Amino acid sequence: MNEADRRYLAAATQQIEALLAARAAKPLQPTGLSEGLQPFAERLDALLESLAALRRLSIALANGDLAHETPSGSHLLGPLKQLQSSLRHLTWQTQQVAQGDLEQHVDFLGDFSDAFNQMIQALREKRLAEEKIRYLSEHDSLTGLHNRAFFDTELARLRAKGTYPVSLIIADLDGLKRVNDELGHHVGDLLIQKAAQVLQTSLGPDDVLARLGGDEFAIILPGAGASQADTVLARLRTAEANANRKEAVFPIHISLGAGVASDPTDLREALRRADEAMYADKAERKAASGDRSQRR
Amino acid sequence: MIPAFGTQYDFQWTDLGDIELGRPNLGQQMPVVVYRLAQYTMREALSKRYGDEVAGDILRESGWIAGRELCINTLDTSKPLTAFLADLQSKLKELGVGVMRIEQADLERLTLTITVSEDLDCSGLPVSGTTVCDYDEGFIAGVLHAYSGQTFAVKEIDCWATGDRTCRFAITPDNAAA
Ligand SMILES: [Zn+2]
Repeated sequence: MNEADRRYLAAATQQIEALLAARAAKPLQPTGLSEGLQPFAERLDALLESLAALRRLSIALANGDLAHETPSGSHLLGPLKQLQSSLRHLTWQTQQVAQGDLEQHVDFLGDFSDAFNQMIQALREKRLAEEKIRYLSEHDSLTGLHNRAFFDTELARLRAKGTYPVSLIIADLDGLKRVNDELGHHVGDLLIQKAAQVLQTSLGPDDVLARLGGDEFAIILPGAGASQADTVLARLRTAEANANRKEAVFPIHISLGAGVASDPTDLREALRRADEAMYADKAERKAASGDRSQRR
Repeated sequence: MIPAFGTQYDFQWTDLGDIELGRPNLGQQMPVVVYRLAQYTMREALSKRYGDEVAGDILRESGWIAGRELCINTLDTSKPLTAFLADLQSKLKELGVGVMRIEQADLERLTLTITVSEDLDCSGLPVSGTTVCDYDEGFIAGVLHAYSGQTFAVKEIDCWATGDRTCRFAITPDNAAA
């Protein structure tokens, strides 16, 4: 053993002590060692380098620093790099979940996987429940149409932003009270459902149909002026007649009225005008049917 | 990368034949060793004739065609990128190609880092010090080209053959090739 050997061994011992105390260590790159020691020193350097990188990576992971760059090709780092990779992927998955993707599934982190997947399942159930509540809050349970709350929200939306003119139609089922009193509510309900169907089939995909309550319905025709509203009214009349021809036992009679709003400030007035027109239509139809029954 | 011939190649998905019909008893499955035997002997023959670099390029180009065709024929390219990646992930797992994970995805700049564990090509390979997944690089670039119409540079930065447990690919838009 020469002097260089002795100095090297002392230095190497220090590096090993440092690593054992979790401090940094670095390769010694000795030269001129005796023949037996030189190859050993080179392998020890490679080990020191790997262990130093391992120490840095484990500290980074312990501190949650997932961006830590690791050298390639060190087997010793393999398992920790795999953990780092899993955690990075998990981070990405969590970001996806935050953006609403509830299809993410973890299957590589033991108990944590189960917990994560349970959390996703719970979120999925919660979303379904919320969608159901939202549906219920915006729809009428008897007809499946939108309800008054939705109609009001839609009007508010149009007041803020929309293509004008906008036409509004009020539709009112005639004689519902009498049917309820004389034939029972279940027949009245059937008539309401029938009226809802007749109205629904005459409208376009962008038109909004809502049951405001009882025998009253409302229709929003975005972008429609007076002549387009008249066309829809005529279509509704035809649909009503067709439905009554097909099923004559409980015919439906719907009074209709339209109002056109030329701009957002005019919406409330247009709704009032539609209401008035509907009542005028109702009075007219009543008089006409009175004439008919008197003649009979 | 994009092969010099671009999408002007003659291969069609139907060239793969009707496997159900052709293998009524043996079916779709075969050992990974057979796949690797084909892959690595082909690489060897190509290397012997054209040298390592050209062999790598040819494998990359064939991977590109494979990725493009797989994407066109088995994946829904109308989905948004993240949903598409999730589909790709389950497709690769289903086919036994590997377990793909996304480590990082910058949708603005279109840079991605993905890892593939239990990779069909290289997992368990002896450590040679150089990455060997040329075919995979081309495959990923081909899939993404079919999805987006854009050209991507895909570089394998970690590989089982360089001593790592998963293959890691850095994906960036390839402006040089465009
Ligand atoms: Zn690889």
